[in-house]
Amino acid sequence: MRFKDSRTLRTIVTGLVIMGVILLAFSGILRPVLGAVMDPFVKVQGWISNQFMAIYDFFTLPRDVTDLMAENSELKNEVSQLQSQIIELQEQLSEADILYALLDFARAKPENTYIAASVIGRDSNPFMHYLIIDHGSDDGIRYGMPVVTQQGLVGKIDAVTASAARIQLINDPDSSINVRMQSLDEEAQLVGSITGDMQLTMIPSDVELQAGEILLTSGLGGNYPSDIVVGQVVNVQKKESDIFQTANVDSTIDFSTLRAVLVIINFSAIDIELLTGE
Amino acid sequence: MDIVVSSVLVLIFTSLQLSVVSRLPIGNGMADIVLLLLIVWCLHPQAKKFYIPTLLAGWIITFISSVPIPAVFISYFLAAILTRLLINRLWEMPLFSMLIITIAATFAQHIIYIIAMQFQGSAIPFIEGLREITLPSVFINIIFSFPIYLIVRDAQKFVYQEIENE
Repeated sequence: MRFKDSRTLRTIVTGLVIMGVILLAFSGILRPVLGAVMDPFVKVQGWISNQFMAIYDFFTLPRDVTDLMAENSELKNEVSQLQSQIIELQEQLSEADILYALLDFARAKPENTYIAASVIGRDSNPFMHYLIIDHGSDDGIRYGMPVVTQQGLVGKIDAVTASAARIQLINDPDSSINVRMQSLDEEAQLVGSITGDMQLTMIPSDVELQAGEILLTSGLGGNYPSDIVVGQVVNVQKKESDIFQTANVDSTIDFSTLRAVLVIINFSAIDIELLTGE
Repeated sequence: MDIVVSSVLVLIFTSLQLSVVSRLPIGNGMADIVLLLLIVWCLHPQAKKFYIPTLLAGWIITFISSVPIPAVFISYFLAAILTRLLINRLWEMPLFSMLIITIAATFAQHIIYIIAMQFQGSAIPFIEGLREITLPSVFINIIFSFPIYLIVRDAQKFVYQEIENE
């Protein structure tokens, strides 16, 4: 009985101690004691883990980096290919826009027959204003044929080879075009210059010319068909003593960015020099 | 070898001149990279067959451009001969020679062009032409001459080393 009592008592005491420890742990009183016991363990655990990860990385990370680098370079290639495709498509879109505009213009004037050509160069002579196009006599282009865009008159064919032609622009110093003022129904002459500026000359002094007047080809002289837009008057110079007044003219076309043109192939220029004896 | 390389360079530069450089004017001026190529090519003391690229360049530009035929040949040969004469005196300063010849050759070329076009019947005012076209062209030619000098000199190094090795 004594033995039995002492065992029971021991069990009860052990249970009470365990419960007490658990209660102390829950209440937070044992935290410093637990910390002192656990900290070295956690540190060791952390050190082992770090060493393991370092070894793991040593064997696995280089492969991942190589893979990533390869993937990165593939993606970069793809991006650059897509970018070049975008540029190509934008280029095609812009070319298509130009061609659609030219087509609209050609449809609006069905009496003329056109050949569309791309501008492939510009004359290296800085004093003159010429463009080179990629169509020539093999395509039916001949000397003197007028060249236009949807915005107006560009010039005329000045020289032709089998596969290319040279256009003399309307602002070339050797260019002289007979024009008609749209609202005044008066005629004058438009001449170019070495700087590319155009001047309207031979305007009678009694004509009330205003800035903004639209100029069209008159058809006189036989070099160009009539009623093609040539430019717009910017300002007028008028002196009381002069018989004629002059005016500065802006072309409706920006020749520096011209990319495609239409050559009117059913119009042949007439050489009136034989008749005038010049 | 030097004939082949100089001819290829003339073809490339002519193509670039017509399709790119002519479309990049500053003011009303325009660079002539074919002229610059000839000047830099002739600056090399060993470029004794300079007349071949000069003839080729003259022939191509004459064929394409509106400039009167003799004017192109005269201006290119004048630049080439001027360069050959000057390198005997200023052979230690090729860059300085190039600048001097670029300025002189551009002026000479434009004066020849203006006179030739006036003979042809074009109304080119002399003073206005020099002021509006030539001065900016000289400026652009000077700018273009440095990269062209580097490119052509590299090509010549390769060509004339090959010849020496042979």
